[in-house]
Amino acid sequence: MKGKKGIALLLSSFLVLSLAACSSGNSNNGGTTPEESAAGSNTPKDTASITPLGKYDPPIEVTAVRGITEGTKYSEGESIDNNVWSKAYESELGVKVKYLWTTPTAQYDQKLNIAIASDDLPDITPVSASQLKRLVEDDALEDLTSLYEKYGSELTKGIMSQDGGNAIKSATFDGKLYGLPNMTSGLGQTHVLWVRTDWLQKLGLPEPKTMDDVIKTAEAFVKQDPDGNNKADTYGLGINKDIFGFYAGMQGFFNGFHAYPNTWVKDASGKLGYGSVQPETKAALLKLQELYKQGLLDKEFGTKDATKVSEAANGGKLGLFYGFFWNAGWLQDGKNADPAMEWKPISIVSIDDQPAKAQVPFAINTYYVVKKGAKNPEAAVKVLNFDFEKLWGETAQPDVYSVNNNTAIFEYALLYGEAPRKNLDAYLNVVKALEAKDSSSLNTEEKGYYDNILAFRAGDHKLWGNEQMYGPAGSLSVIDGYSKNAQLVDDAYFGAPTQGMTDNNATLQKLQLEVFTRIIMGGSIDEFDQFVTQWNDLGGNTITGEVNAWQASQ
Amino acid sequence: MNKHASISRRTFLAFNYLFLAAVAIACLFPLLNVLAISFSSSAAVSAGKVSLWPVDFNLKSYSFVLSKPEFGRAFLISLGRVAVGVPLNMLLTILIAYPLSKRSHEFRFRNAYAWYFVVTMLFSGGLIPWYMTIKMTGIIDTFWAMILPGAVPIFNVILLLNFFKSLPDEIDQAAQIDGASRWQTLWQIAVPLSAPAVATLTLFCIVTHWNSWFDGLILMNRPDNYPLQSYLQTVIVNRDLSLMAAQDILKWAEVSDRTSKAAQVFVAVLPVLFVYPFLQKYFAEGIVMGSVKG
Repeated sequence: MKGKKGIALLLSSFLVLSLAACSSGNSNNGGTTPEESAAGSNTPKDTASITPLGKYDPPIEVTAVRGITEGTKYSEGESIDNNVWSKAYESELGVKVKYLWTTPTAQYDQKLNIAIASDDLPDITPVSASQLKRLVEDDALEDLTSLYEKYGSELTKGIMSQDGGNAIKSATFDGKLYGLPNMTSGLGQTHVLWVRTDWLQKLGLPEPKTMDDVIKTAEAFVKQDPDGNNKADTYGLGINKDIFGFYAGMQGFFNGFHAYPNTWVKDASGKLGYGSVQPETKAALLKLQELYKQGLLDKEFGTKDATKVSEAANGGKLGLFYGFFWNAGWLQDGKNADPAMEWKPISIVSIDDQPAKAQVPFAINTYYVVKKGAKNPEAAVKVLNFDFEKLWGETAQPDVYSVNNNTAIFEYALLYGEAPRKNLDAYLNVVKALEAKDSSSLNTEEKGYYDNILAFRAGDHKLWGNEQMYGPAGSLSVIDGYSKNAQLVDDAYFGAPTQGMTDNNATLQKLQLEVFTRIIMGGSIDEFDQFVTQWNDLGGNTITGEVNAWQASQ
Repeated sequence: MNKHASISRRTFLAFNYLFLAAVAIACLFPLLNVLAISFSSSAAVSAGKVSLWPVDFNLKSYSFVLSKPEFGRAFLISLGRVAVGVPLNMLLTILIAYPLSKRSHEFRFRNAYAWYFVVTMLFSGGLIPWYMTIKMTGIIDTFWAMILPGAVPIFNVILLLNFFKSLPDEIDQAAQIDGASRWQTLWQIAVPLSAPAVATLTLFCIVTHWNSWFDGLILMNRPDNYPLQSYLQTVIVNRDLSLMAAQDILKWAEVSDRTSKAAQVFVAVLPVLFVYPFLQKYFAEGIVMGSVKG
């Protein structure tokens, strides 16, 4: 009897102890300082690892997988497992990163899907939005909310919230943060209008200021033989087979009609609607059909992808198209072949007296997640702090950690992100330095653009693209103008893909492309109304409902 | 051709040859285009000037490809894969096909064994179980992951089995009367008599091993260990830009290397192009003979 009583006593004391542990856990979440909780649960030796950039002692090992961008170069003797970043993680942060596997980015998604399906995740994994959602539903991820709060450095939190917090929100499910977004800029994916100014001069045309000007320019480029070979072999306005995209896409054109296809926009009542099915889109399509009839679009555009269209531009057959700011990089080949070729990026134009606004897609497509039950879940946040500090922080060493000798060292970092305004800031700083003729305030990356622009101005036309992007009249100046004049329309939906999207998006996008192509190539415009009905019936209604429910919950 | 063929017959033949020649040219066209691109300057290619004849002829892309360590390494891995995988394929194919070609009274449970193999051809476990099996066997991320999982090509076994069946029983029996063991009958009678089939199947195996890219991609943990086609796939494939981060697209914008891609494709095609003529004479014969039963 006595023995039994003893056991009962022991058991109850365990209970009390475990209750106490629970309650102390709760109070930690409630906001005790890191030091206190460290003292409670860890050995004092670990205190340093609690700070955002503190070193783990003894060092820890985290496993990871990753895609490696095509063309990533390494210095002699280095590899993805052994480079300045991995060495710095180990020596300064006490984190040894072990890659279970790596693969070129193009195959990463496929390989990761297999790893997810066979329940074979490492501690830290970069995932897409839909994979993130799937993993959250499977309850396979660590909740990072409190870890991000506790370990995130000021710099990290600053960069992560530079877009108004949408990025963080997009990785938050039921109030819990499950992924660290790979920050990037949607601004870099707005359209500018690229136009051949030497052709404009030759034909005595002004720079297009309105949509009518654009159409007149396109017409002149087709009919007045701008390349002077006495053959009608030039195109008016460049368009690729997907209609939308980064090069010779039509977003900029649609934006001129105040239509924002492929994004979610707020209507007058504050409800979200899909841009592709709005009446403004119909008007833009009707105009494109007219242009096609007049021969201002390539008759065979339905078979030509962006690369094909760029061949026409570089071959001196096309002088007008909408595209991203970096398209100058693709035009460089044309400039190399024909140095007389001059392009200028200009602001998108409007059909009426309302200024055109450029649509800004939600740019974040990669999230870093931590496997549920990982031994050191906070390591992901700390590595991100470390990366940001070395790249953009006060002690940043861009020539060591970012770019050196044309080697993209930043590619080796485990977690990555860019301040959304990075390119714009680079442009602003470069222009300021050019005016002051003083490059001392520039970081290494900006200094590179600065030097290239000077070299171009000194006659090296192989560096022309730099002037066209980062120079005073470069494409980023156009985007800076959008940003200053509030000429931007953000995609209003930035959550994970909803169930309806996962189920129906492929079908809906195919339908949209088919119908739009048919309409442009001369189909009846009534098809657009049929398309709207069909779109709604094939899942669009559901998606709109989900998107609005999401908006209401924000 | 018969001298006395009717006019309609001759017209038919003329058109038939023309048509087949056109088809053959259509097949050659993409290859010639790639070849022309690989010899052209990248400026000419990006201006869309190259179709069948190189513009601004140069060998830069080839010297670039040959100096690229990744390409050479992947090429060697693929060669090794063929050198080890094909003999193993053929050995197992022959050893399985021969007993299965015997009738049930010679080989009891022959049908059961035959079904055991055929079932794997009809049903597969699917990608994930396949992957997990290989992972749990511990050969993942090794050279053997590309060799062992496909070591027994059932389709080839069935082709060869039918070919063996078509050999007259009498030859077998004569060999046995002369004192040949089963083993000797197989290697000294059956296999030499089946040279066309064996040559054809060898070609199949070479091409399969040389061309497979998916297993390398999924089973290898480092791009350094990719065989040639997996590597090429990563170089050539059209990216889905919606999946790429903005900074990647930016980088991609700076790369305009269609000429070197074309050179890599072409170099990768060469070995199989070289092997074909030597095995071709068996090729058509082997396939047809396997399907005709004596």
